[in-house]
Amino acid sequence: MKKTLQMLNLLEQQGVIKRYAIGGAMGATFYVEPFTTFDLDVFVVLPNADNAPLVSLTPIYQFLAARGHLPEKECVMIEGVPVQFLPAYNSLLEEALEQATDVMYDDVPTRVLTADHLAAIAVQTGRSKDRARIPMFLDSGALNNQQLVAILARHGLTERWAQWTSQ
Amino acid sequence: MDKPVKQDFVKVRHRTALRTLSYPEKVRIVVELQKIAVPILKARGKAAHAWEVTSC
Repeated sequence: MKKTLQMLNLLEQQGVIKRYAIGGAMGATFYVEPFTTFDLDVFVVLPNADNAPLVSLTPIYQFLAARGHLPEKECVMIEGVPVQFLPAYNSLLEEALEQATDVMYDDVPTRVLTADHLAAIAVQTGRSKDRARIPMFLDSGALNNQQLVAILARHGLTERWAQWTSQ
Repeated sequence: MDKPVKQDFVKVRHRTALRTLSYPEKVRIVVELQKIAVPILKARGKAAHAWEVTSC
């Protein structure tokens, strides 16, 4: 895993991506108890993404392939870990990446989305497995209620959050 | 009535302990969970494999 994170850092240092942060189940695992997942979701901001009509992950795939990390289905195998690169495709994800937390993984620096943004993304994505994560976040004590309420309101998710947490 | 309360307390304490583990330690547990899940998923015809990390 350390080597995987080092490769993600190299992608950023070399300018292939502007910024990355771990999200999805492995992002959630940073805040809650560990649970089963099989890939590492990495949200990325791509260089010149503002001007491009079409977002392409090809530069990432080429950079990694040149170092022996080949695609496998929707992921790229990096040092034994299937990594799924997800471009920030909406304003919630852009904000989440901007405000992601710098953390250390042993001696390797990395970045994880905040618990509040992970919860909001789960609400926005809306799958059953996303919904199952909400009680874990609520139990974890990692959510900042004031911040979460503001995020949900900014991105039109307040109503769904109320539905999900009232049952 | 005492017993369920005690069990609940132990469960909550265990989950709290898991939450406060370091990230590398959590990743090590995720890989162990993957190793348990893989044969079950394969038996159901789903492709899955545990991360091949030499060290977490």
